[in-house]
Amino acid sequence: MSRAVLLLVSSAVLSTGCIHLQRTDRLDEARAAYEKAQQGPAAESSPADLATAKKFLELAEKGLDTGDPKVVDDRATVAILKIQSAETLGRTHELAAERDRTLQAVTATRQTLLDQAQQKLALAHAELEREKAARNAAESRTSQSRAVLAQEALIRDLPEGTVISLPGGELFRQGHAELLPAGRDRLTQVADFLKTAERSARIQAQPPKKGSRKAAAALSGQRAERVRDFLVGEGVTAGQITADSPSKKPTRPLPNTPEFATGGAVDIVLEPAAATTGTKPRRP
Amino acid sequence: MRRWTAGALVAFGWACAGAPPLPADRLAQAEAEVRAAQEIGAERVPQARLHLQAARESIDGARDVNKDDPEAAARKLDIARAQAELANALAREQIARTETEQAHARLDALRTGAGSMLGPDSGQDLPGGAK
Repeated sequence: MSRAVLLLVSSAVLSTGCIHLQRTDRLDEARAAYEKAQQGPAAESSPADLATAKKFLELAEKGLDTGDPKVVDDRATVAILKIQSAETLGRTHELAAERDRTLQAVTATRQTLLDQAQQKLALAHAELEREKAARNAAESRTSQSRAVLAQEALIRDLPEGTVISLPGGELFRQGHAELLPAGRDRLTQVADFLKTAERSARIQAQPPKKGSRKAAAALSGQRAERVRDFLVGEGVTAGQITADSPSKKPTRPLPNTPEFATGGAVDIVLEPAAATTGTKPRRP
Repeated sequence: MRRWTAGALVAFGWACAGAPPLPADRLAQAEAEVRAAQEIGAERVPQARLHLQAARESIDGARDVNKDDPEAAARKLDIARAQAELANALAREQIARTETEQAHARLDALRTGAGSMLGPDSGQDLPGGAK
């Protein structure tokens, strides 16, 4: 009897020892982690790392043959860590790719901005060149016009501006404010000059040194108005030119020549360039 | 009598020798991975720091159990190495994330600057389209 019981117990112990280990919680966890990783970015971005992780999972599964759950769990732990590493490397590869794409966009954007800035600069440069050419042309016209005018009138650069003096006797009959034909011709040249100079001017008719001061003052006012009207009629902008009030005595010394002494003078005073344009005064 | 004495001496010597050494190659690999993770800055990334710490603890644990269970010690070294590798990977991921964010910030700054410098329509001409 006791022998039979002993045999039964022995066979039970032996059969228990031969029970094959099927699974552990940790191994299940590793299998699930691998399944999940296969669906994630690691499968595409880091397949080699995921394949390595699979080998460790297989090693853990082989651990079942030992029948020792500790062996299985330790190997499953390594497999899980390898799977997590593969997933992390997959995300890292994706981030690196995104970073590289963004840096390429940075480079391309910088180049585009540079191109746009260079285009703007080129346009501004061309505009500047056009303005410079136009200014040079205007200065050239003014200079030529002044040279022509200088043959017919006295031109002086004084602190108050550029003063063009014409003998009163050559513009008007003595004691009158009607323009003579020769005077009109001279004033036409003055008008040409004023149009190129583009500076505001005022007309001052200076009375002659001889004769009644009171009558001369009245006449000089009329003459200044007449000259202004003529110049405006020749195309000078009306707002550019004014006629000064009559004066009893000359506002500046008359040129020391006989024609100015006897007939007085008509002075056209161009304001200095800075007074009208706000830039540095320049010779017209 | 002599046989008994020799046997006793061998037994005594075995006991005095202590635990067998940890597997040198596995220990070296685990420690190398820990160092690599440290050098790349895993300590500064919270999640990586946790795995780095776990790797160190596994190496210590391997030393502790080596005397009684050398196979378990070897497995702990494998775990330590895997922990350190993960710490390393997490640190690299953080670096890549930071670099990507910086690249986006540079691109945004360029586009914002371009918008104010070149006018409201300039962004449409930039690579990647208007923001």
